Amino acid sequence: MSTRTSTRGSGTEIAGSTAALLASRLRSLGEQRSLSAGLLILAVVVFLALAGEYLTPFDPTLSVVAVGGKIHNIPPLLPPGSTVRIDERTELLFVLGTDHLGRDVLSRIVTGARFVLTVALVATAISAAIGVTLGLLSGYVGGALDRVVSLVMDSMYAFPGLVLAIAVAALLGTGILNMATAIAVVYIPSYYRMVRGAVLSLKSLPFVEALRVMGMDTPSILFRHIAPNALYSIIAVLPMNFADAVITEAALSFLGLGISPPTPDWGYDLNTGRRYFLSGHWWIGAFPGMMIVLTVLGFLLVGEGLGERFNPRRLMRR
Amino acid sequence: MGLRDYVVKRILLMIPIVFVLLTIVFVLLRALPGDPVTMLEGKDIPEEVLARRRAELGLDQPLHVQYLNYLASVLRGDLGYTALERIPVAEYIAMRLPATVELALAASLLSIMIGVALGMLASFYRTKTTLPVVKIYSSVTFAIPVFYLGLLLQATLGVGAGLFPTGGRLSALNEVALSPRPTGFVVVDAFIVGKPWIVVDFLHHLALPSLTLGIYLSSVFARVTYLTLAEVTSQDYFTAGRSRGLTMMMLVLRYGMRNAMIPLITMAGLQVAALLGGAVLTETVFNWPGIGYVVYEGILKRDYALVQGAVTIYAIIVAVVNLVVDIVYAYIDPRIRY
Repeated sequence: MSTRTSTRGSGTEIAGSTAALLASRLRSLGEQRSLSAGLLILAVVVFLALAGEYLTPFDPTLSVVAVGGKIHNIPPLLPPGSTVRIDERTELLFVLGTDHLGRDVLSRIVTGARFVLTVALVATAISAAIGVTLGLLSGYVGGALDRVVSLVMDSMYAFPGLVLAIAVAALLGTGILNMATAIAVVYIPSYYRMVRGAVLSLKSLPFVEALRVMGMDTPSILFRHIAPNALYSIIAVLPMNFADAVITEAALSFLGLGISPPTPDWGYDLNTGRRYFLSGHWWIGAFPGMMIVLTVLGFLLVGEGLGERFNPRRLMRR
Repeated sequence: MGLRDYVVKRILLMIPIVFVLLTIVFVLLRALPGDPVTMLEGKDIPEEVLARRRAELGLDQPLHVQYLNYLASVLRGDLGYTALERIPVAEYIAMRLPATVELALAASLLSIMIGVALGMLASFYRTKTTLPVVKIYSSVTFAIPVFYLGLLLQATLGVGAGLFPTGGRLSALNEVALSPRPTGFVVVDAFIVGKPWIVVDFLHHLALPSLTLGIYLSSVFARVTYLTLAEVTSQDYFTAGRSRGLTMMMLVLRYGMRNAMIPLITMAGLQVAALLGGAVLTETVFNWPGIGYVVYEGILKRDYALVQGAVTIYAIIVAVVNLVVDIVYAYIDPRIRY
């Protein structure tokens, strides 16, 4: 507690305890603040993913626009804030410019949210499901099973996650489920370790022994009594997993293992924008990149808020 | 148990770990549904060509035979041949290894320097602003994908300001000047060949990629340094030192950092996976000719043997690096030698 610094100059004990109270209030407010800031960011990104095409001024996959029944080509590589005059009455504004094919960058980053979030959601679900199940079984059963699974999980944990994901993605190919599987592989050990640790400490508690004495069978003890208690431990991992999944999805797309064009995707657009970065057309890649950063930051803030609430001594893990 | 016994035991323990890692690589690459040949060679290729490729890679055999073949060939140091140039993959990767080691060392050094400096600054000047600064720095550097950071640095410091080259390991002239490469490490080779000025060009090229990877990795070090120092500085002996008139800077440097070393080394060990993963992307962005770039090339050229070979080498590197970290750890902290 930092009462020492907060009472500096106040002198009296009452003022000291008030200051301490205030400090702890402020701290929990700060915790709340990072949680609510994160949730706000995520709400916006999820809204973009759901609303998608209904919000965008142009079709994200087309380099033409229909005005007054006629099809007009959109010029490529327009810088942000450019306007194009179609006729006397209509002038089109490209807030974030257009890409090398004349597609509106704003429309692409808005609709790009959908694919990333879907992949991240599916990936998180897969790795949580597998990791938690393995952790529960391994922790409760123990013995040879525990040793073997732990060895495999520790080895996977030490392996560079991205390289694992690349290897799997290169094999499975593109598509939501395939990419999600490739990303999911990376995070299974994190859930496994958390849940296994929790189960190990839970199973020696008296209530488990009492259940056993009462004649309850192992699956019921494990899934109805231990699992709900052990699952608390993964609450802080979930948002981190999400954040990592978004980054890994972008990385796979960036390496050319993502979805096939023209579906908008931040990582893919960043990869396209890469070639134009050096020629000064920075906006093609810069804005999708910013969306990735923002989304990851959102998950990170939520994770931090939850992490502080559930486990104050937890360090950030990459 | 003495340090030597521990080291021997640890080296022997590496054998099952390598075995497990190779098994994981095999399971991921072969036993998962999905056909690497169709995946990498493309779908519009006639079936007999695909069948020939499959037979060539030994993918037409039953799984357990493939598994034994895979382990046997790795033991022999045979990782197959590249699809196009028909160079042994092992040789091809060995050629690229020094570049990755150079990048990894430079980036680790930078990340620890940046991270520790930030963490120390935040604990010297403990005001309301320093903690948020460290927090924001470590969150933002965590959230920026390393390839995006690389592109931004390339665009600003590279193209925009024209301070650094945006890709490659040496400029073309020096690449030729250094043509016989006895060790593969530029810094060593430049001296062997007798052209030490090439090192300057090399460092100039190394600046942006190592900074990219260094910033990416520094977030964790900043956080760990700050948190450890925060804990150490609230101890009684710190207050005692302060009351005897020692400055905060002196206390942190002489007593605080010594305590912060152990979690920092643990973190450094844990960061190796992030370092190697980040290196794949950094090398891709900066055309840095290391193993990470081989992975990218393998995907790009649809060369299955190359991807598999690179992943196998990663498995071995991970095992070796973990061994080294454990030994260093045991050397620093005597309690480890159980």
